Amino acid sequence: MRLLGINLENFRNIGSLSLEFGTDRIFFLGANGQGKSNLLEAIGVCSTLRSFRGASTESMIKEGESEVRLFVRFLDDDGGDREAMIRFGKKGGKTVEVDGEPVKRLGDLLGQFPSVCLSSRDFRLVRESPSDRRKWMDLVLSSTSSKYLTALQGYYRSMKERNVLLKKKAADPEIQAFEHSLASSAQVIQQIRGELFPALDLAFEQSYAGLTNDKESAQLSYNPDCLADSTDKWLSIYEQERMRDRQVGSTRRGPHRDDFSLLLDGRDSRHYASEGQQKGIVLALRVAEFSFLKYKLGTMPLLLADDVLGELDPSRRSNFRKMLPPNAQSFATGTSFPSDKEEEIWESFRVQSGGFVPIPLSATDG
Amino acid sequence: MQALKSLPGLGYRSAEKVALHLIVENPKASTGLVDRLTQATEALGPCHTCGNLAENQLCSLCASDERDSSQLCIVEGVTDLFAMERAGIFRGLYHVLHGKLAPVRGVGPEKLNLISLENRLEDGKVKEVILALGNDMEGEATCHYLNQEIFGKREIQVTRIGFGLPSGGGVTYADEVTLRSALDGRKSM
Repeated sequence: MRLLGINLENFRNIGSLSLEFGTDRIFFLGANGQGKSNLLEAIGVCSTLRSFRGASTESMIKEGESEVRLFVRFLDDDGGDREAMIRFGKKGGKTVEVDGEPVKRLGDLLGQFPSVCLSSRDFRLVRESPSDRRKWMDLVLSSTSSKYLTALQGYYRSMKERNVLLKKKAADPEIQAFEHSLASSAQVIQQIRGELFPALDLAFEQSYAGLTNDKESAQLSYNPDCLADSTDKWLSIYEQERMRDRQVGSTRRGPHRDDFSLLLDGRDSRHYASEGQQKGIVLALRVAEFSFLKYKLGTMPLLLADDVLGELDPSRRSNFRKMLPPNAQSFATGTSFPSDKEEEIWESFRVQSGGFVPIPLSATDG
Repeated sequence: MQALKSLPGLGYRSAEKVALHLIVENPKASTGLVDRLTQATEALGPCHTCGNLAENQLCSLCASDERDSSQLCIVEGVTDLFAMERAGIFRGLYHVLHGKLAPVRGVGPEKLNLISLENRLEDGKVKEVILALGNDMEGEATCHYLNQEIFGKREIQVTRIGFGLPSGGGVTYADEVTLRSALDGRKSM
């Protein structure tokens, strides 16, 4: 799919902006702190309602303003026009409309306008805590399976209730009442993770091999916190753990503790890979995400590259290009073009203090 | 106005509208309303048996001898009972819980209308209990709790109302969650 245009109001440092895009490669050029990443963030919000920077909704509202408005127009892969409108304000509450129809649930937006974002924060996926990896996995799986999203939301809600009961030392039957919905959600979550993970892993292995010209191999390995293959088995796990859970005042075990490892030649890349290899692994993970979304949704995602293309060495950069379908629309930012030769291939905008001005091709010729 | 705003279903604007109407536009209506509210609060209270609104100790349903006392339908609120009665499809008796289990909001079993529920099951007249609670997570948990703690100990048939497509509605416009429960609850022909 392709983004044809975006209108923004009061998004971070961007007061009011209306941009049209005519090509597949768009570059936002400008010094730090001018608003390049903010625009990518806004595009990302249209596909997942979340900031890829992990920022809260409120922090994306321009200072002194009360409401953000985003309007995007897409061309889908079948040539049809699609549009989405998103509004959110200080008081909370988001309004989403897709093609003029109000959308009530996150699940109805997720996966409609897929995007994959590369940013310098990505190294967290290798180096940081399991919760970063889980967030990534949950978002990818939720975008491709509404059943997964429903189960995940149900799981966290039931767990919240159960934890309140554990903390206030409620009687067993009351806690049990909430373990039923916890167990049935856990069953669905783990089943889908078990089904979809192999496909993600395959995409990951292929992309890492492609990135390194088959010199190195990397795998994703799913590490469930505990394994159960039926709702009844989950029920007995929560039953068994209840005593200890009571002491801690929270649910200690379950899919909310699952993790996966990124293995480089069979060893955990968190400890055994060099910084350069870790960068490659993260990049391969994003490429895998891209192909997985494309395969599952049947839609070409947008690629958002926040200040990362310039950081890759030339051979990785050209391999990276080769792995993505040539007609994938990419939006990139940087303080300069990734390389001198690249000025002409981009449709570019100069970014300054939240303003975006197209750079005519002729101006970059000299 | 603040007092009006705190009522369920009224936001800032509607509260403002109602307040203006009662004070400026139609002050007569406001005295009438106050009288009626006073009368209603004095006359009505919860039915001692089922929790429905009642003018006496028992509500009209519990007092009636035309209802089938072997069937008991459990509902969350009085409005649910009204909805069932409007439909006129159920001839048994009701029991209103006045809520559902929601620990995060501080609602535990002690806040639900359960003691009178156990009392009315004592004499063994009730043969079937129909759980007509919503199919959200709290409704689900409440059903499990009641089944385990109250009905499980007795010889009572426990059923739960089905969930699925609204009648007259086609498959096309149903959302996925509804379709899933409709499929789960399919019947053989």
